[in-house]
Amino acid sequence: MINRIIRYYRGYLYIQIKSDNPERFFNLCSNNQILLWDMKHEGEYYFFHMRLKDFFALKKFHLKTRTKIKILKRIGLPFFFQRNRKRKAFFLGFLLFAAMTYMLSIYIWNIHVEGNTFYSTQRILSHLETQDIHHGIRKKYLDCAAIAAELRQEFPKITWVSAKIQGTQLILEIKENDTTEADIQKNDNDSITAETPCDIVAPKDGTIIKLFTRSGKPLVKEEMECKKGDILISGKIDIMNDALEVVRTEYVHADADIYMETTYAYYDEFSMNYKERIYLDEEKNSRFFKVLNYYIDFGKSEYPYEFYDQYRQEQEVHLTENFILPISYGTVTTLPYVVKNQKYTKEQAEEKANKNLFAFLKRLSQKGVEIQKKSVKINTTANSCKTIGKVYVIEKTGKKTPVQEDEPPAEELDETTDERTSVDE
Amino acid sequence: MKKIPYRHLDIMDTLQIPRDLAHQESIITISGNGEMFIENYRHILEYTNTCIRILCKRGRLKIVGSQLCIEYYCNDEMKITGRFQGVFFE
Repeated sequence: MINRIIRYYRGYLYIQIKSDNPERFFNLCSNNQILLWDMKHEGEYYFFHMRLKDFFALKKFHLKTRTKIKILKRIGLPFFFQRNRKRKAFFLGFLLFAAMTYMLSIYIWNIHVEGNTFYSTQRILSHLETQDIHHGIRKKYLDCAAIAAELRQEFPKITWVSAKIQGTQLILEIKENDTTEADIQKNDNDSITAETPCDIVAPKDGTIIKLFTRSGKPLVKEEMECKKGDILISGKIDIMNDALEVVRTEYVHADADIYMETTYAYYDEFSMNYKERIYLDEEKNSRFFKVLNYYIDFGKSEYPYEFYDQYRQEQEVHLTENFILPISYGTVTTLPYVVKNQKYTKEQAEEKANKNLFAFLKRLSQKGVEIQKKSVKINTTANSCKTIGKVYVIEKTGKKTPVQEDEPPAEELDETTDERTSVDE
Repeated sequence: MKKIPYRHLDIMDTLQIPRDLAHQESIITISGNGEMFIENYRHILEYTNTCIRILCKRGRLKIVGSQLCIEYYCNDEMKITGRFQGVFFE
């Protein structure tokens, strides 16, 4: 294939020869590095293809071998240009095409973001837009290192960014930190690092079930009850001498796994009367076309219904992967319904109350809480259904708070001695 | 054609040098009855659409068939297509 393109680019000829000694002619060509291809023999004529530049070398051979040479076809780009040399508009168009291709190739037409899971592509693109990096920017205004640094600075969860330009595409490869959102929030709220001295306090009332201390001084024991705000593990450790006197105090980062039995209060109430939507089997679809903020609707008509749901499916027009044009199209589906007042029976109400309770317990289980027992009562009256009770659980708990460090007494002593000496002077 | 002395051929066989280098043999690769590649030849002796005779470095080669076409022909290699009926060493 590549050979055919090169041949077309350089030009080649389809030749017919008639000779008394055609083999000698072919051998002379071969010995003079003239390539012949698609050689055929029909009657007294031989046909073959040869390169344009080799044609002029045939002059000496055709005299030697008494060969009559006839050009049947001229194929290739040089002949194409020669044939069309009077078609100025065509060449102008060709030049314009080349110029436009060049012009378009100096801009960025697609920004491809990959490796991001936490930060959405749209969020990253929006931030880049505030830094004047957008679709259609000239390549020479882009500084890949600066873009990478900017993204790392703006998005703390991004640990590594590679920005590179490939063709008319800006590729941003991102690696994010694996810690979860909950971890980040926890760290942000507490602003306690692994080295900060801290205590572990009880976030709510309960009974200690299990306690594994890694660092710090435990102030509670298993089976012990504690109140909200009690210090469970202290980060303040007193170092004693043999006479059990405090020599010095060390502050450590308290760390422990504390399992505590706690209770969750449960309350749920709903009315026995409810409104039921009964959808009519009269679904209507209409299409729309949107340019900027202007809508063109097709098939929209006034709905004779009092209540209806509408779903809109909108498809944006992309020029490239992330280059979204301000044009979109889609369909609007209208589902009419009538509202009917209904009332739960006692069984239905209890079923719904149980369903709500199980949804609550499921949410607790997802948080890693072990449910021990529940004591819940469902009360159904004429107008409402109430579910009240407690859920007893075992959960891993403990809130880290910074230690209030006492001022070292040694410094005070030094200051006092200084004062004394100054008085003496 | 200058002949290679017999004792030289013996040494080359012992050294396991390929025959196309040692004995100046032609390499003929035939795929089915429609395609043939020939290397190590001198020149064409006769070419018609039913018969091609080629002078090789050691002997002559005759290809008989129909619609014989030389796909390309240069100093090192040639490719012949068509319907072959026989290949003869003369």
